[in-house]
Amino acid sequence: MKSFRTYLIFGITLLTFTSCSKETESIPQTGTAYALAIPPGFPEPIIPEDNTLNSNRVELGRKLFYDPILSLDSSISCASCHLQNDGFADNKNFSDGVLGKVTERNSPTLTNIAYHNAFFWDGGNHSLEIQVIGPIENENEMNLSVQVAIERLKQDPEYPELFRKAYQLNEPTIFGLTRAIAAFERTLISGNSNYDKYFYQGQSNSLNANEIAGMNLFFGNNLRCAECHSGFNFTNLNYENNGIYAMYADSGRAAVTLNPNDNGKFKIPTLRNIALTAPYMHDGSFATLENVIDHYAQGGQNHANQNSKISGFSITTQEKSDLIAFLHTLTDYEFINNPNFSVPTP
Amino acid sequence: MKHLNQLLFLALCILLASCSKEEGCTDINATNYNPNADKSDDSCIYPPVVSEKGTFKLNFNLTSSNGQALVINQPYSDSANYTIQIEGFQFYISNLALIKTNNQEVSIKDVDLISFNTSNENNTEALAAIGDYKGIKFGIGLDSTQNASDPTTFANDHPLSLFQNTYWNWSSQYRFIMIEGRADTTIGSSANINQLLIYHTGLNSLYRETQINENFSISLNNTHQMNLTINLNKLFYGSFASIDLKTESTTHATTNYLVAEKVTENFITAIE
Ligand code: HEC
Ligand code: HEC
Repeated sequence: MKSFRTYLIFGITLLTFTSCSKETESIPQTGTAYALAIPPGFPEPIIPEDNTLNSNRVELGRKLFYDPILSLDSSISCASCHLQNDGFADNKNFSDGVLGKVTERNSPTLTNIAYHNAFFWDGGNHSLEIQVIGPIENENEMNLSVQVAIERLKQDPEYPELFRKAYQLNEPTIFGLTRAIAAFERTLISGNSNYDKYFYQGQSNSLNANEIAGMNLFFGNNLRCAECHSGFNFTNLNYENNGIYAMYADSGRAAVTLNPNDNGKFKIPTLRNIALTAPYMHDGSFATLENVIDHYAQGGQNHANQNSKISGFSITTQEKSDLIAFLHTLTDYEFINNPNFSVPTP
Repeated sequence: MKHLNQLLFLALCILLASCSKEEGCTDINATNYNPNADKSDDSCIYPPVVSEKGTFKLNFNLTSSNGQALVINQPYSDSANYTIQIEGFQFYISNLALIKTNNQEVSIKDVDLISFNTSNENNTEALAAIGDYKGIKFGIGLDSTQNASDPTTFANDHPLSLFQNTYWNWSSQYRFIMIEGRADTTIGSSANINQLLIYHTGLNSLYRETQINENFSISLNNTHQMNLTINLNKLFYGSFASIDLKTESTTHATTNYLVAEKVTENFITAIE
């Protein structure tokens, strides 16, 4: 009797599956594969298996990234603090969240975020997907519980269909929300600055003499910048104390590791699009690139954890302006004008 | 060298030839036992194991000072004469196992969230094989694998779902013990219970396992209940270390780690 029932259930399940599979044919499939445009000299980023890229996912993520629906009073989107024009950072020391609140740290660039292995200035978060929850729930940023966010998306006339197309979900879920935004963020790859044209694309005339002089200073072993800001993305992704304070109000990496030797250490930022992302450092304490160079030349405030590479150097006014000119060659105008990254047209 | 290759080739041929004997299921206990097979091909199919089970139910309740039931949102006076009002109390229980009389441990539940936010009693239960047991073992908090879970991948009512509001997205990990409330630590007057108490533990280093020794048996289709009490007085003034509610009123594990450690160690001894 029992086994007969088992067969019956099995049979019905089989039937349901076969009849279902006919229907799925009419559901638009997962969208065309999204081939990331990997610039010359760049590696392929690691993409999690449960979030391979396709056009439906990226487009859904882009819509969500620009949609204030994810904030308490529908006033702020991710793009309020990560602006394409500003290299997906903003130009404030601390950014404005909902209800007049401000963030506790400077908004970092999302340029080439696909290549990072940990997120936030202290690297406290390990997944670009899970990171998405941070700003939505943070009371200084969007201050919305994800439960409410999901309810809003379910009520929306457009989102349920977009979630279905992107992730084959019956309705918007937190899984789909976090995946989609991360998928969009991974497409934010910048590798077509004048520096890239010169260095990776063999266009020797794309940097002028001053910029080349600045580049040599940057990579040279007097200034030692490239010992931390290294590789194609100008960061080795380590956590270092670059000596901007003798006493740090924000303990940085130590808040994650609970190790006092990590006090004042922060994730070494990329320098791509750096001319667009002033003010600088985790707290925006330097207004200009000139201030930053003066700091490194002076040799830091000698914090106990200050990295020994920060030991000061002498630099002439001409060299300083060359170095600044070089840092400006890291601006990628194609990136900040790329229509695929801007507000989607409704 | 050439000879060696030829030799190897020959050996391979012989090996392959010998392989071509009849393959099949060679286990007489399997439903598809093939008496002609002389080499097993891992194809054996076994009849479903009908294991006979009952239910093990673990009840938790909270008590305040001198064994009185603790009521959420209602002030009580503790052994230091402080007035305390607990407003939220949750914790993760994980890796629940029953210990057989022969010391074998039988896992019955991976993880559950025990919440007293709406009542001072809560429980977790699971099916368990019938038999005699001499105790149970469980973790308070989550082991490092569970703690590394992605909270967006669970159904909304799963204990590890983001929707439980137990996840710290900033440090990508879970809170283990979550106690919130208020206290008045000015002895004598209980007019304003306005000092916040926030004890949120977490981090892999604060996962603890504990064992309760008590003989019991599980019988077919019956439920065996075990009742455990969490004594708040022992939680705050425990055998590991006393918590000074005046100065040690908050921890998020990453901040005031030592307070989180005290809460964790005391918690284990407060279970009775
Ligand atoms: C109110 C301003 C604000 C909003 C809105 C905001 N962010 Fe941010 N974002 C920040 C700040 C500030 C940080 C740095 C926080 C820290 O390090 O503690 C940050 C950090 C990040 C990082 C980590 C970057 C790195 O280099 O580690 C990512 C990724 C990110 N935000 C994505 C998003 C997404 C996606 C959204 C929308 C869901 C969003 N942000 C909304 C201000 C904001
Ligand atoms: C020891 C490693 C190290 C060296 C060497 C180093 N930096 Fe940095 N740099 C950092 C860290 C860490 C930060 C972020 C510190 C913070 O926010 O507190 C940073 C921040 C910056 C920033 C601000 C980035 C932003 O997005 O706000 C700039 C610009 C910069 N560095 C340029 C340079 C230049 C130019 C040199 C060489 C003169 C240099 N760095 C040498 C580690 C280093």
